[in-house]
Formats: sequence, structure tokens, C-alpha cells
Amino acid sequence: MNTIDSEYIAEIIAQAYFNINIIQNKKILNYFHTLKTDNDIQEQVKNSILENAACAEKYKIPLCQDTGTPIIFIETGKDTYIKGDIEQYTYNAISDISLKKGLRASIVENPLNKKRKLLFNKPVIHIIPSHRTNTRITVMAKGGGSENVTQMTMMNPSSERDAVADFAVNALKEASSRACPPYIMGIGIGGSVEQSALKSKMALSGKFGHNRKHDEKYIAALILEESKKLNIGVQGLGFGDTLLDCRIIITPSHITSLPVTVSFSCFQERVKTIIL
Amino acid sequence: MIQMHTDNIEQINKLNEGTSFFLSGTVYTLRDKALKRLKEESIFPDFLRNAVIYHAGPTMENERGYISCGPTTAQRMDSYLDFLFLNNVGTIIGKGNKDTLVHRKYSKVYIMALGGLGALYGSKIKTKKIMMYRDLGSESIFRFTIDQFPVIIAINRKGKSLLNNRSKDE
Repeated sequence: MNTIDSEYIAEIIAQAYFNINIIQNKKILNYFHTLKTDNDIQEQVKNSILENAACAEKYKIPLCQDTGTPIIFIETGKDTYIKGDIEQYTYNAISDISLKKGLRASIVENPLNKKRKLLFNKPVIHIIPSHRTNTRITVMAKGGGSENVTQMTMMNPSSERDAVADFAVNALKEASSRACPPYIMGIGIGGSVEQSALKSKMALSGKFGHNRKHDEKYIAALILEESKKLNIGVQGLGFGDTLLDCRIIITPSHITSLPVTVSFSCFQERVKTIIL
Repeated sequence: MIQMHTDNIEQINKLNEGTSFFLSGTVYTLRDKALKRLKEESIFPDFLRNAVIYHAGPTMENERGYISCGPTTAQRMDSYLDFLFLNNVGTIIGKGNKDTLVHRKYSKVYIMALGGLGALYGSKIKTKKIMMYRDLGSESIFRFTIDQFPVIIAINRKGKSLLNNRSKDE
């Protein structure tokens, strides 16, 4: 039996959550470095994005003021025991670092209450059973703007691949420029309702083996192709890409129902995986 | 690059869509919960009249006193714009596309800041002060003195938009 100490991993998670909020994803940064521009506005936008990454590192301030909901996936290895209250320790560590290093307190205890009780970034924690020999932790900072353009539907179970792609492309059209394009899309197809939502987020993180099945590849390629026709582009200004990547996970599903969830990430992709 | 100051709000409201410029001066943040509360108040605060409203909510200060504060989605403000413009607010800054008709109705431009760039905008905020609703944390109404915010006119005062009009809300 492997024992993992909650107090120990909570610190690692909190530090990762801070780091992904400060240091821009290198692939994304490289995308903008090499982005072709046609006019002054496009050039200014491109330069502002690059300058933002430099500012964040220089002043140690978040890339985006929305430092996100911390979403934590813990894949426990075989015969692993997590000692202590993982939820409480992680929340304590994240709220400490948020307060000390100036992240935003974006979570409220009861969103419907007129008076607001701020929680200092209470995380959403998913413990995922796995057959790995080690434990793997994926930390994601998920912004609210891109969360707002999520779409879920119960499709006809006899639907085909193109119908799923149509639904996702329509979700992209409706997201338009509201959630900081270019986007990354994660789609969970099949399973139970909550599983489809969870798998869409796991797919979105890019850390859980997406686009492996033939159908996953086919739908992702179709959506990426269609996204080029939308002309939303960087910041909605019609240049560069609308969709940087489309990541799909298909799960076994009941013969009667086909849940599909389409999740989005803004261009500030903030994800990190730690292997213990 | 054109330089504009928030004191010259009439001039700003005459700019055409696609004009990109640096904005300096004073802005007030106002977002979701604060907007809702403000609408329920009996008196509209004078400091917001003719002022530029920044749809945004900053991070907390870090150890060196810096904050991150880029714009948030302008579309969520749409249902409050009649209320704000009737109270003579100068105009608004937000991100992403939004309703255009209200801008035509009140002859106000929509100033778009770039989304996801909180660090860049944060570094250009020179002073900050909480004006109202301290208990709302990042959603309090802040007064910022800003120096050269890179922004673009996305909708002109006639309701003409620079952004493509594919979303349902347009």
C-alpha cells in the first residue's frame, strides 16, 4: 500500500496553481510569437499578448485577473491511500497562496445569497481511480468566461459523428468572441450525464488520452476544419485561428441516451500535471 | 498611436469602429453583483456620471503591491446599459462582442479592451481606491488611474460593430 500525505500534496497543488497563473503556456506563447499579422491593429494585439506574458513574469501577477476555479484531478495509483482531509488541506494551501501572492478570490459560498461570503478559491477535486503505479495530479485554473459558453445536450442515441460535430461547431459559433478566443475545445461524448461533463473537462486538460479512437480523431478533425470558416479569430478580430485544438473522449453509453458536453478554454490555457 | 484621455469622453464617443488607441485617465470598475446592487439603490452616485466604466474585477494585491485586472465579458453588462446610460455614464470598456442597438440608442461607443491580459492592464493601473461595496471583494467599485490602456473601438455610436455578428445576442 502506498500512502500519500494530503498535507504534502496540498502544498504542491497550491504552488502549481500559482505557477500556471503566472507563467504562460510555452506552446501558446510560441503560437503568438509566430502569428502572422496583416495590419496595425493585429500587430498591436499580438504585441499586447506577448507583453502581457512578460508583465506577468516581471511583476509576478496573474496573466489574467480571473485566476479561475482550481480544478484538481488526482489519479491515485494502484493500492494508494490518501491520508488526511485532502479537500481541507488543499483549500487551506490554495487560499494561503491566493491571499499572500495576490490571486483573485473568485468563488463565493452561496451565489444566490445577497450578501457575499468570499471563499479564497475553493478547489473542485476529482479523485480518479487508475491502474497507474504512481499517482498523477493534474491542476487546471478554469476561467469563468469560458465556463459560461459550455454547452451540454442529450443527443438522439442513433446520432452519427457529423451530428456531434455540428453541435460542437454551433457551440463555438455561439461562444463567438465572448470567452477570449482562440479557444481550445474539450468534448465528452457518452457515459452518464455527469461523466460526459467530467470527461469533457478531462479532454480539455489534454492530459487524459484524447483523440485516440478513430471516431474521436474524425470528429476533432471535422470541427477544426469547420472552425476555420467561422472567422472569429484572435480576440474576435478575424485573424489567426478560432480554435487551437479540439480534444475528444468517447465513453461507453446507455443505448437510450447520448450525452454530449462541449467545454472551452480561453487562449490562456493553464494546466499542469505532476507525477508523484 | 492615438492618445485619448477619459476627460474627453465626448471626443471618444465620436471615434469610429476599428480605431485603436491608448486610453489614460480615470475609470471605475463595475461588474455583475455591484451593477445589480447599484440598480437597486435610490440614488445614483455622482462620480459615475460622465465616467468611463471598466467591466472588470481585479485580483488582490501581491506582496509588491501589483494587481492583475483585464476586462470581463461585456455581454453580461447589456441588461444594465439602459440604466447606466440613462444616468449619463460616459461609456463602457469590456471584452468580446455584445449588443449593438443600445449604443446606437444612446450614441455611445463600446470600447473593447483585450481579454485575458490582466497582467498588462494591471501594470498600467497607477492608483486604486475602493469607492463602494467593499464587502464584494473583487466586485467592489474601484477607482483606477490608468496610464495608456491599449483599447479598440469595437462599436461606434451608430451601433456599427467591428466584431463579426454571428452570435445570438446580435
